[in-house]
Amino acid sequence: MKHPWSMSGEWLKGALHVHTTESDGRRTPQEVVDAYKDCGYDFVVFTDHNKVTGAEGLETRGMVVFSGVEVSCQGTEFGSSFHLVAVGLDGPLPEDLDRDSAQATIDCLRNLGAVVFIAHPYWSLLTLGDLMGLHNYHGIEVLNAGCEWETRHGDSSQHWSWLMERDREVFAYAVDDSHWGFADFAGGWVMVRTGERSSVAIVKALASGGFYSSGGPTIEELRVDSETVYLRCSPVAAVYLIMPRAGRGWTSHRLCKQPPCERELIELEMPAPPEGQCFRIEVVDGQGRKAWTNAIRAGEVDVR
Amino acid sequence: MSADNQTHATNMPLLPERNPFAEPGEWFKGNLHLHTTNSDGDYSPQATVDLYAQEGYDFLAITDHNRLTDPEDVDGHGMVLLPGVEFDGGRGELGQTYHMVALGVQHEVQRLDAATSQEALDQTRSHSEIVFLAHPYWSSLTAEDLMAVEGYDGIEVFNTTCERGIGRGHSEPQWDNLLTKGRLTMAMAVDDAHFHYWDTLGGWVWVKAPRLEYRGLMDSIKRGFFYASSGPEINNVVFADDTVHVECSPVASVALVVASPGKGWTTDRLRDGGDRPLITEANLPSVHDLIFRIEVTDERGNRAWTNPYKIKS
Repeated sequence: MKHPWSMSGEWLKGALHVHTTESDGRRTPQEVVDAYKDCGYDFVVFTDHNKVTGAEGLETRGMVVFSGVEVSCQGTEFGSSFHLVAVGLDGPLPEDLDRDSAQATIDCLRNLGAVVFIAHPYWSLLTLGDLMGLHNYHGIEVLNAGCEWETRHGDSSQHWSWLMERDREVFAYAVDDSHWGFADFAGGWVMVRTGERSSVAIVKALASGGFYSSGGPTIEELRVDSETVYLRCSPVAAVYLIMPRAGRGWTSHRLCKQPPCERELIELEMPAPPEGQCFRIEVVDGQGRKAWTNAIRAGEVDVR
Repeated sequence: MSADNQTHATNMPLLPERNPFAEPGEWFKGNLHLHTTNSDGDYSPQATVDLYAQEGYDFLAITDHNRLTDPEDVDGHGMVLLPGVEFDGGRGELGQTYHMVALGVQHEVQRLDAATSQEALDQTRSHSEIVFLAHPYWSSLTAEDLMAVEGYDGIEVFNTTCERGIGRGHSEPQWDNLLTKGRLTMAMAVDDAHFHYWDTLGGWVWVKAPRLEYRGLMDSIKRGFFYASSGPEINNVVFADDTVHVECSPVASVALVVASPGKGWTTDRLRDGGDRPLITEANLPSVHDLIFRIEVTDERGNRAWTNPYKIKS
């Protein structure tokens, strides 16, 4: 399984789940582009509710700006709706989209070529049955910053683990879900590895794991070989190598016998898991903000 | 499975009148879960007690695996020592065992011999007064696994060794799913210290009791007169008409977490550019007829959690 640090290209920072005045956001598409450009982003996707907002006529200021949607479908175990985000749509939603069925909606959006992920599992109080009962989606929102700020139910790291432990190898996307009622942006983003600054290349990377997610830290370098995993990142308080099996994993805290243990790490070598073992890495900074790699399989030596 | 989900919850702080912050008494700090050389810890029983006494803790539970470490054998330095054991047994959906921390164990015990998960929990209860399920996230136990057994008083919402060990110490998602299903459950924060690496002083409970002595502490824990923390202090929670008033140590956010999809509220909306001012009190819009809890988070991401409430309209 290749991972984005073993690929060539550049890193593009992007916002995948964004609302505008075309649905319930309080800024226009142009104002949204400006806000993200001023934060140093490289791409933005409009994902208004049940409606595809286009990027025509906008001053993109060098960013890649393209379209998606957030569709709500009934049917969760607790009686609420699934919110499905699709990134990479060229036209309006089909009129015969069956929103009564979350599965039919996912399948339809996949057929249109989009990357499809389930929004804010924790905020929606989705159960294991809800997540396992749907198929054909690329992943889930591991961080929805807007939900985290609003209700403290924005971090779905654990929901992701539930899926991975049941061999559903899905990807983890960090987003804002910005509505602009307060400063609910630039809290969660993806870093996409790509050789081409286009919506097509970005969608392809998002669909194949060529990215990582963050609410703060930057993962600069990652190398995996048969003995060790080497990581270099922005200053963090902890690095966790998590394996989707009960009680299995490794941590930078193993190096500490006594406090003060909270020196800042910027590079680390960890023992590699056994060959063939799937793992992921989570780093956490001194303010509790995280970054997440997608799943990596040990034993496949990196080739540059 | 019993249809009566309220069986273990009759003493829960459901109503504002049973709010530990309104109860008379004093607050006492303790760690309810740790291991010594009597099982897989690296410190002797006396050394663990020395550490927590030095840090100003008021009470401690030594909870070795499948065996009782007798508190009479150690000098508590004035702390109250609660006799406890961590049992394991049963199997969750992915085949992993339930770890159950039992407090108030008054006799020698052995490993459980249980054919089912419910039997393991029943046997654990037969040895003790209070039972809570350890580290659900670390154990890969889902809310469904936790619903499949009954008879426990609480779960660990935070476990220090599991968080610092592999980043799997938080179990709020399971807890909130249980609350949404109406399974009223208390939440503990603990160290589960083994002392192989730095896994102490990360999670504790503050218990409201008339005085620092065994019976009062156990009764208060059983009745939910405590809150859990990995850092901040919650000084008061007051209910008035349509608001919940919270006072705490300086935090970045105060949240009313509701057991209902998409509902909830925080006072965390202070992120406009620059630094967020820290909060020491907040008024949150109350909810009626829904279970809710209060959670505060400081600038480092450390939290404190009240037990659940429910206000009937």
